[in-house]
Amino acid sequence: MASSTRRTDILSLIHIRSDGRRPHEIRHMSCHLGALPSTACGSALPTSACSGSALVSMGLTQVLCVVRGPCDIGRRSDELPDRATLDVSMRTTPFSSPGDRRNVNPSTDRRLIEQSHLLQKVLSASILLHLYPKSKISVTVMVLADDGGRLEAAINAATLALMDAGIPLKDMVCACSAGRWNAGGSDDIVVDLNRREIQTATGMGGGGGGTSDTIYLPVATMPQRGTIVLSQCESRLSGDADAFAQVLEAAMVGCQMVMDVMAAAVRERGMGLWKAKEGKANVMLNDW
Amino acid sequence: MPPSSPNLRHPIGTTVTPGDRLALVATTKTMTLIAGNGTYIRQGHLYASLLGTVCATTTATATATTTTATTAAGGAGQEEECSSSQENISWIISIQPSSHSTIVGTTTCPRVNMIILGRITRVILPTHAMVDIVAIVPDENTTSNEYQRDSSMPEAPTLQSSPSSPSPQPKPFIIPLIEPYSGILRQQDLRPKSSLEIRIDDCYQSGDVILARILASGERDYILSTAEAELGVVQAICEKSGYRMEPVSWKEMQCPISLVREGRKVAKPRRR
Repeated sequence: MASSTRRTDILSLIHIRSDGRRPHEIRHMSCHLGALPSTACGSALPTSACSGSALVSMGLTQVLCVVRGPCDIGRRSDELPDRATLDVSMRTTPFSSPGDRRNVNPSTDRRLIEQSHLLQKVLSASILLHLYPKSKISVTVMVLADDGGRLEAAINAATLALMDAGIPLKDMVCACSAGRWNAGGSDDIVVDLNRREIQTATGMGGGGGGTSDTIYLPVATMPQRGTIVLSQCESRLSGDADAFAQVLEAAMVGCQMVMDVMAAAVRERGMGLWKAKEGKANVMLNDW
Repeated sequence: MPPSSPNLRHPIGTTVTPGDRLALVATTKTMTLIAGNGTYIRQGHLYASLLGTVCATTTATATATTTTATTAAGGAGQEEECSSSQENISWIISIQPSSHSTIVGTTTCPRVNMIILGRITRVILPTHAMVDIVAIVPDENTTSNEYQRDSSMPEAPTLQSSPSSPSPQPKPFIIPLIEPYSGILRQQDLRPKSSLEIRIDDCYQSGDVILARILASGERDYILSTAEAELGVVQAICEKSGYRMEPVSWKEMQCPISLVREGRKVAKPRRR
């Protein structure tokens, strides 16, 4: 006889997700500021290196962001007289997605281009662009491993890389996703979905659209101000606005947790660099 | 007697991240807070915009004599000026960035009225010369007016920078830019008495290193001017012998090896 109960159904009865997390827990997150050699380090050629970089991994999703700027724009048609131009591009590597998906071309993939535009909008809301007229700040995000949530990881990495480059920001932007689905008859609101959960929530893995009660919502906020910078819902909400509000609420709590992790990593590094300048500690600028 | 330090949410010397709220900006009888480098004001509150440590410097509005005291609290050196009067004291709250890229000064942008160090790339007879802007030279006159300047340059190992401090400052370093910006030097801006009969190749040749001031940000490039005594050629190579030339007068330089004289608009040496 065919067993119709899958492992996930059993786990969901005790509110544990497929990777062992509780519904409100985010994945293990690690941030590394200054992952690449920047212009400050000795003999690195200014034209080849970057101003700041950050390597962020949320669970198995790993993203590297490199920031260069502010520098002169080559083409005068691109420059703005009162603020800096922000040039954002997001790329995936061929080894980033599991399975044999090499037929995705990063330069024409619509999803990636859309996510680059969203990233640019998010960062424009936060960087104080008016301080650098007629200059260009370029942000490049490279997705090294994609286990779901690459836009959120990219936003987090971009914030950290901009802080590493010393570009002034209004506030740190943190991103997290939240979702809801009907599994085993009970509604669960979960935070920080991985690839498998996203496929269940949006039904992209196989078979038509998701069932009408599933919601997947990536959200980016400035947690210290409580402002939502990005929130993207492509699911069909079957006349239930309360569910959306709950999921949004959960996503904002998730962003706050992400912010705590990022702030702790950043303050430690900031304190270390400050002590190095003062001569009280020896800090390797890049431990690679 | 030292004035009381401003009461900030994140005490002076701690590391802050962008978006951290520092203080309420309201002028009380004894204290006025001013947003310095790395901070911004929103809805009456002062927020940090950089990753770094909080510093506070005073601009004592009192005319009494000031003395400088250096206190080291928790590893962060701060410079406070003591004033003997009880008048309204303005505190400039700024963030000293702990990002290593600001050691090189990668986050500054050339602005109007700054003195820059550049290199002549092309001389287009007879009207103008193209200049590659390589670095910004902080000038005593310009630093006192701008709070947005990157005053976080490591000027000396332990002193904080204080733009309007009357105490003697060590000379700030040159701020190099990551990539050269492009500028243009026009015929009418070469000398203090502008005249359209000056030939540009009597003043500059391609390859010269010059000090110039940014007059305006033009359509395509920054428009520069050397119409001051202290601006002009800093280093020039003799065409014939390839050696560095020495200045003979304000308009001539001579190569010490071949004794050939060439016309240049020489910069007056700056007083140390």
